[in-house]
Amino acid sequence: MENLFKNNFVSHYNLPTSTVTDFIIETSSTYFEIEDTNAGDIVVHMTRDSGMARFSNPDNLTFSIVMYEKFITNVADHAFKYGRKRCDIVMSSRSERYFVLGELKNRIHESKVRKCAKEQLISSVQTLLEVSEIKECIDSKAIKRCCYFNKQSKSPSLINATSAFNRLSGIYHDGFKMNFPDLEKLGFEFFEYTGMQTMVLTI
Amino acid sequence: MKESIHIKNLGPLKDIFIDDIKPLTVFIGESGSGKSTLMKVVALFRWIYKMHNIRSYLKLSEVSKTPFRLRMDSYFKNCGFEQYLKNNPEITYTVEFTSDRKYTLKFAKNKLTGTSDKNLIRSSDLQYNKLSFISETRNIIPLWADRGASLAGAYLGFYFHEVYNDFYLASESLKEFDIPYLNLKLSVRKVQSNKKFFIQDQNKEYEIDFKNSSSGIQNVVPVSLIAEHFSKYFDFENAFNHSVLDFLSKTDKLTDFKPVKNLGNIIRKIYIHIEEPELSLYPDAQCQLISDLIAKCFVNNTNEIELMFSTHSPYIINHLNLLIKAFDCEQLIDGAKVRFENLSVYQVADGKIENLLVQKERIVNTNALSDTINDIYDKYTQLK
Repeated sequence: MENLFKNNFVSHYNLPTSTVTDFIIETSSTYFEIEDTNAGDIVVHMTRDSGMARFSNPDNLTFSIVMYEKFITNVADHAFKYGRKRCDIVMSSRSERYFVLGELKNRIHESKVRKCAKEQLISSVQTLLEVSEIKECIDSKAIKRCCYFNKQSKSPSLINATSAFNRLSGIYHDGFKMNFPDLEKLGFEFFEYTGMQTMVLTI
Repeated sequence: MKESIHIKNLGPLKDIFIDDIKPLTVFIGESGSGKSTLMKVVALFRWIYKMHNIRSYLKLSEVSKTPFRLRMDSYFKNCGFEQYLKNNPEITYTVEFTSDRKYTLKFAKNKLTGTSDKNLIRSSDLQYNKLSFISETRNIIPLWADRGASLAGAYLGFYFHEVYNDFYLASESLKEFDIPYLNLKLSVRKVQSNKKFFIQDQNKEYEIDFKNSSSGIQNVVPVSLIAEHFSKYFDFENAFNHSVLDFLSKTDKLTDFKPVKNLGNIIRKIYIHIEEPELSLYPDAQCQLISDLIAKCFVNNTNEIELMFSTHSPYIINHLNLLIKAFDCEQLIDGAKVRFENLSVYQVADGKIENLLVQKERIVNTNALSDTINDIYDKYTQLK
């Protein structure tokens, strides 16, 4: 994955030679969560309730998690970044199973977050598919998915409104596969995960 | 029969395509997103299609003269769309029975096509439809009904008079009408030469004028009464005669008229459109109203009905999930259930629509309507 981004991506878009490091995390934990911190870093946690995106990985598949937003911020010039929306993470399994893009809701006080997330995801897919080596990698995967991880907020203990309004996500644990025709045309499915909903990664 | 609509560049609606309008269709979206515009376009084209059916029926019954002209400029004005015309909107409405029995009405370049003599609807596909559009202006009904005589000649807009006429018609067949979830009853009585409307508690221990009842009651009563009327009491024959035979008698064409089909053999359907059924209602009552409406339209109905409404209520959308499960469990909730396959829920945003039905599950994704409560407590948590 590092080669695909540091060399192929950079070369395809004629970006300045990249010196960015530490933008990929590898994990094969049976359970992990990903947090997009206020400082803009992506952190992988193995403990529950630490992140916004939850993954169950019972078969211990090995994943490379690319901090895509951080990567673009570091390597791209203003012209490249201008108007080009990007998601937070890109995940690829070492096996020919998963290629996943994720947008993690971490900003608050922002309306239309869901709509923005969808735009960031599809724009990222389009950007990645233009790089032939990355497209080849994507094409080789059985499951190609864009995910919006929508964090459920906490309310004061006496108030049950947030849990009440989010109960549906407690009934359906696997996330919601939603209709997104423009993304489906690119070969990806769109899923939404809220609260405790967890993406299950299987062989 | 499959009904579809494609709308481009009409006011807030940039590109909307609904391939198969389901019997129960719900629109959510922010204020100004275009929910009402979308519903009005669907209602307008359903009405034009109805008129095209009547015209086809008359032509097939050997009435040669074109009975009426379809005037899109007036219809657009009634809908409040006249300022949208400068963007050259396109609207395509299709009713499809089979691939070779398909009828398309198209409005483009300020012209309606698909209604000429060469596009006549076949005898086998003839429909007689009734449309009702219950606008948010229904809260003026109690005052209008009370002061109607003194307001003769006043005009409160096309949609108000449409809903008022339906309300008045419904009150002809339903003089006493229960609204059990509010423990109330509407009573319609003649006082001198006028019809008067009263709200009573169910034990008739008190009674007030309809115009003095709460805003919630003033909004619910027209919705519920109209739905009940169309569900069970609407007289298709009378309405059909009014539409067809009145024209014939006025134009002395009765002698030419050789009916191609009896009304009993024509497909009959009622379309009800409601803007924000939840207006002024407490959340419990919102859910009960929806159960009541669905029971009237899809469970206890004698007439075939399709229901379309717009809403801002997260309670209503979540309540639909309960009614879907009720159907799947072969049970009723407050007398209602919803067959998932007959439902569509769309979010209208940025001139487009998004289908909110979760794929491979039998639920509606209600997250879009839960974000606000999350945002409120995100902000709460941030305050130090």
